[in-house]
Formats: sequence, structure tokens, C-alpha cells
Amino acid sequence: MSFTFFSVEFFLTFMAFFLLYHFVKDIKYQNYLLLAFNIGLLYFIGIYVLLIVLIFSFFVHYFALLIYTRLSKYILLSSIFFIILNLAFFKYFPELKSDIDEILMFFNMSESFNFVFPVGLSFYTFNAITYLYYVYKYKEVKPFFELVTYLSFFATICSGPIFRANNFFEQYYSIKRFAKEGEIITLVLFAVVKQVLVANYLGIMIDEYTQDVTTLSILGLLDIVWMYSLMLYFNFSAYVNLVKALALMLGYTLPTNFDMPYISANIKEFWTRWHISLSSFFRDYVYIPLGGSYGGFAKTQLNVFIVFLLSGIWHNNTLNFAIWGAFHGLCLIGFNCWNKWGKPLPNFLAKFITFNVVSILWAFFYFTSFEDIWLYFHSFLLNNAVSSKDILICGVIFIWFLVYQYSSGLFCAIVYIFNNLHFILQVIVVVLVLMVVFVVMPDGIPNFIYSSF
Amino acid sequence: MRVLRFFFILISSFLILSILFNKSLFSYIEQKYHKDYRVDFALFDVINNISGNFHIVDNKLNLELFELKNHNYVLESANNLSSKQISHKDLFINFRKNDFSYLKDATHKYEADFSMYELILKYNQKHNKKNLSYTKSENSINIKQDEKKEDAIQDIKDDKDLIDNSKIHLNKNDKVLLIGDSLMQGTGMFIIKELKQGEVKTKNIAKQSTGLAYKKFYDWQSELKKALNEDEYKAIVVLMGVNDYWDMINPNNRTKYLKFGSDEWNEVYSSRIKEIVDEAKAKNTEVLWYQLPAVKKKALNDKVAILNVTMENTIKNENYGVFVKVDDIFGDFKEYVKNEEGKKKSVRGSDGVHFTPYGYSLMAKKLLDYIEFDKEINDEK
Repeated sequence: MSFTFFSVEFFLTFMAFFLLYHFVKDIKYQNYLLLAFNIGLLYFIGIYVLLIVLIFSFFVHYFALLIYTRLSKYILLSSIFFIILNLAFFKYFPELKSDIDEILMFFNMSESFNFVFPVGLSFYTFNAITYLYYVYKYKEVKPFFELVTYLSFFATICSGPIFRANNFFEQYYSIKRFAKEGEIITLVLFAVVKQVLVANYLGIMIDEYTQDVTTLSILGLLDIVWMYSLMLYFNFSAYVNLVKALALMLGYTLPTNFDMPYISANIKEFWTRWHISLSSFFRDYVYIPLGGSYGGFAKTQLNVFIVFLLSGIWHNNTLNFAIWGAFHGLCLIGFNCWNKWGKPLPNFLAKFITFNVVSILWAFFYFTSFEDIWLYFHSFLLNNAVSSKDILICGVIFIWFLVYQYSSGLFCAIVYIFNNLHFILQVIVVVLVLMVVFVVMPDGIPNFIYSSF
Repeated sequence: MRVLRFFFILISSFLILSILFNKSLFSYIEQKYHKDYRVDFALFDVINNISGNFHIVDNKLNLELFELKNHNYVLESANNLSSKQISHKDLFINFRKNDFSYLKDATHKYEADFSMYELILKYNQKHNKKNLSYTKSENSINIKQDEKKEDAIQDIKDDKDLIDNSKIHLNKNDKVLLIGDSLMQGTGMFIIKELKQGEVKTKNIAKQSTGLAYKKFYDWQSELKKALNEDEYKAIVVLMGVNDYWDMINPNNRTKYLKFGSDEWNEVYSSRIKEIVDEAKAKNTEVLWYQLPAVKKKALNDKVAILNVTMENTIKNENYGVFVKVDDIFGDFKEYVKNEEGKKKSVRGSDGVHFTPYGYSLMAKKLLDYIEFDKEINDEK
């Protein structure tokens, strides 16, 4: 069954749950309710998804008990290895299908089976790793049902952000006071405008532009990656805005995942502003264990490269994603070298270059097959004539880029204004904004790109 | 108190928006739950008059995702169709009874396979006889009862004209328009690539969650008309239907429902197909209509089989266009297909309806069986 947070059905169900949740003031019962809601939602998405989460939770619980009783680093590492293996198995199963079938046929066994990648497996695998580390570090195991509540947490299960165990459980046991209404509604409105309006339109434009890249001018080809760069950001950050609002309604504050990434003046800064929960996860659970910046300049660069290569491979197993990760790694190494020996660039120029480098590298994300990306870059050599539409799109993006640089206080300002409105006026504002969105939005279901990773 | 105030803000906003966009909301409910809850309420009329065409196509719909289950009904039923006199109505009645045992038990002494079934259809058409599989009357050819059955089959096999598919000829710089649902959105990306080898230009205006059954939700006829007025196309390629296998509100009497697969339903659906084809024909545009690929869930696949019969019947019998068959690859549901190197590659999405990029590329390649490019371009190649 299809599921999207952007639906009338989800809205009404969640509002009923919200009332009940706050009506029951006891934390214990609130937590039971949360577990029931998580399970109910997973069941609705598909019993297969629910079963995988439950089986996965059993294993994680078992590993946690092992780590707790033995307190051995090797058990921690082998447990993490096992759950990553599980993730890799589901992620790469389609590629391995032929080989697995051959083995099965050798034993005269049926080959008519399949393992579909379950929704959210990547994200609850990352959460589970943080939990196992938490058990090892704090020597504390959570009861099984609390672990299931954590791993199946509805707000983060589909596409993150990665919600670390210590952060989650700290909030899980605390009294949930409902507050921050202005922030919640602003987050929802931001999410709707970004996704339903901006990202959807950008998606349509990109589809139109990518129908035949060989006919595009150089500017048109660049327009594709600029638009995709914006679409990815609006799409993913809209999703995070929405789940953040939902979690806040239940008294949970999710970690920040985006912090205006396209104002970054270098690639290093970009990774502290883009998909923060993932990059900090890779930093703490891969880069630092590899040795981090200890071991000299060259070793640090090697570690950086490994982290980004792994990040690329995690996103997908095609060559393009590995290239994407490797290029990001190389860009970061390049920046580190520049930082060490070169002169700093003017701020705006640095921001402009960073935005362009990131955008061009997103092409490896968009064109998932090697032939497609080859065709895309090869089309730059064709030097077709520039159309007025290419110039218009470029102009709009450039203006957006300029305005965006100075819009860091926008969210807080809107929250402030909203909080100071009478609640009847608040209703009017919400209705007006959504009305405009619904009237001018394109057709189509919001499709969150990250849910497939 | 804060909770209640917040609840009030959101729910009252929702209610106001629901009233303002009541048309869209009811359309959404109709398409998703196949029920019409429209009420005669003066306020709605006033608002709808003011708002005019404030009709949003809902962004929350996706009826194309289904649970996972394996089966191979389509090919099986198709095999049996060729061996036994099974009318569209029989298929429907048995679908309603959920009983396909008679299909499975049917024995077929000529061991007709699917291509045989196709040949028989063509034979019938060529000899101006009523279609074997779809007719309800006794006029249809019954191979079993034919005294000269062996000769008849040999005749069919020998007739080379029958084996050649009718093809659409596309010249350099011709334009092709793609319409359909999300399956066409995916397939279309690869059709564009495939048609490029004939230097044919392609435009894809497919829209997810759309079909022919819910005209109020999305009117493909008028969308097509608009597109054909904007540009000149040599052909249109249609791939849609996976959102259509539900009971339909009777267009002539909106308080009544037409049961999916019933004669009335098929008649209305067939007329919707004709509307699309007629729009194209009015502009001298050829029509290529895709057969629906099997889906994973058996109950839905049984419906797909019925829809395919209606589509094929309409397109072929009325000589309306070319019916693009995909059942040699996707006639029965499979998640993996061997590529040229003999390695199994995943072809279907996790929902059992959509495809992986490789699956879409195979769907797109099927179209080439029904297309003939400019000779010059072929020679160049």
C-alpha cells in the first residue's frame, strides 16, 4: 500500500493520535501509544516491512545483550558488521540474484524467491549502530519494546534523519509538554511550499529538459544540474521539515539535517550543512574510528576519501554513485590542500564555485547509468544554440541564489510573526498559504528521493 | 488548552480548505475509494461557482502500488482462451466468482501457446470472421469443432502475412507523443532513447495516477486534444490502465455504479478508448496502444487480464491502431529477466506494479517491434 505523509488520510489519523497522545498525560502510556502508532503505520505500509523491522529488532536486542554482558569491543564490531551485512544483502540482492540462484540450483532448490528492499532499512540500520555503541559506551540495555519503539519511530523510519539512540531515549523518558506551535506550523507550511510547489515544478522542468540532452545548449545542460541541485534540496529538506513538525507535535525534537547548504563557501562547510545527520554519522562512526585527523596530513586525506567513497556506495551500488562519492572526497582533499597552501578566495566567489561543484556532481546522482552520464557530459561538446528559456531559467536560479544568501533569518522571523498572531488570524494565514499552493501546484505525488536509499 | 487550540487551528484550516476545494476532495475520494460522496449542498455550489475551475488534481494519490504476491494467470488464461470458447463475459463471471479452476483444468489437444492464440485472432480477422476469444455467440470459430482443424492450423501457420505485425512507419524528424500513467512515465524515458535511433522526436506527457475510468479526475481526451492542437504528431503511444480496474460511476447516472468487467463497464471503457483513438485519428495520427504488463498481486492481475481483453478487443477489432504486446516478457509476472549476457536482472519495482530502469527499457524495446524507421536511416545504420 502506498504511503505518504502528504495525504488527507494520514493527516486525519495523525490528528486523532495527537489528541489521544496528549490526553493521556502519563509518559508510560504515551510511549505505549507511540509504539502502537509506529507498528500500525508499518503494518499499513506493508506487513513485510513490519516483520523485517521486528526481526531486525530481535537481532539488535540480542546483540545489545551480548555487548552488555561481555563488554567486548570485538562483539560490538562484529554486531555492527552483521547488521551492515544485512543492509548490504537487501541493498545489493538484485545484483546477486543470478549467483544465488546458481547456488540454489546446484542444491536442487527453488530459485523463485526475491527479497525486496524494505522501506527505511538504511535509516534504522544506522540508528541501530548508534544504539549498539550506546550500549557499549553507557553499559545500559533498553527493554525490547522500547528498542522497537526507537527503531520503528514513524517520523524517522522512512528517510531519516538519523536519530541517535542517546538523543532519542533522553527525550523518550522526559515529560512531553506541547509547545512551539508557531514553529510546527511554519515547518509544515515550509514543507508544503517546498515540496508540493517548488520541488514538483522543478521536477517537471527537469523531466522536460532531460528528455533529450543532446539537443541542449551548454547553458541548458547546466540548468539541469542547477535545477536538480535545488530540487534535491527542496525535496529532502521539505521531508525533514515535515517529520520534524510531526515529531515536535509529540514532544520530540529531531536533529537538524539541513542548515542552508548552498551558502557554503567550500565543500567542507557544505558537508556540515547538508544531510547533517548522515555526515556526522560517517564522521563519528567511520572517519574517527579510521583515525580521523590523527596520523598526519596524508593519512587524514586518505580517511576523508574512504568516508566519501563509502557514502557514495551506500547511496547506491552503481558506478555513478561511487564516482560521485570519490569526486566529493577528491574535492575535499583539494580544498584541504588549498586551505593549507593556497590563498582564500573572495567569499561570494567561493560560494558560487561551491554551489557549482556540488551541482555538477549531483549529475552522477541524477543520471544513474554510466551511459547516461557519459551522454550528458558529452553533450557539452555539441555546443547547441542557447534558447531564451535556458537564459530565463539561469536568471531565475541566479536571483534565487543571491536572495538565498541573505535569507538565513527567514524561518525564525516567520515563526516570530506567527506566534504573535491571534489564533483566528493564524487559521487565516494557514488557509491562505495552502490555498495558493493548491491552486498553483502541479499534479503529482510528492516523491521523496531519499526514501529509496 | 494549548493542545486544543493547536488542534482547532489545524482542523479548522483543514475544514475550510475542504469546503473550498470540495470538488477536488470528492474527486480524490472517488478515484481512491471508488465511491461518490458528492452531496448537494448550496454552499458548495456557491463556492464552486466562484472558484470556477479551482480543480486540483490531487497530489496524494497513487493507486498503483500493491502488495506482493506471485502468480502467472495472464499467460495461463491466454493459453486457455485459445483452446476453449471463453467469452469476455465468462471471464468476468468467473472473475467475480473468483474461480479459475475451469481454466486451469481445460485441456488443449493442440497445445496452443500464446503465439498460437495470436495467430488465431489474426486468422479470424483476416477471414472476416468474428474473433475467436471474445465473442459470446456461436458464430465464432471453434477450432475444436472444425472438422478440418489440422488443415486450419496449418493454414494459419503458413500464412506469413499473419506473422508479420502491422507496423507504423516513422520518418526522420517525425514526432511521437506518449500518454499514460506512471508506467508510461518510466517506459517513456526509454522510448525516447529508442526512437532516437530513427531520429524521431518524442514528447512524454504521461501523468501518474491517471487513467480512463475517472474522467472527472483526469480527462485524457481533452489533454490529448490540447497536445495534438499544439503540435503535429505522426503517432501517439498509449500505456495506461493500471489505475482503472475498479467499479466506475455510471457516466449517465451518477448515482449508480458499473461493476468492473461487466458488459456495461466494458462498453464505457471501450468508448473511452475509442475517444482517445478518435482524437488521434481526427488529426491523422497513428495509435500504438500498449498491452498492460502483469502485476504481482493475483487479484489485480486477474483484473489486468480483463482490461487487456477490452483494450485489445477495441484496438484490434475496430482496426483502430496497433496493439503493442508485451506478454512474451511480461505476460506472467517475473521479477528477474535474463539480460543478453545471461545474467538475471531485476525488472520490477518493489510494489509489483512498476519497473526497474532495466524493466522499463525492455518495455520500451517492445515498441520497436511495431515500428519501422525510415529506410535511409536503416541503411545508414
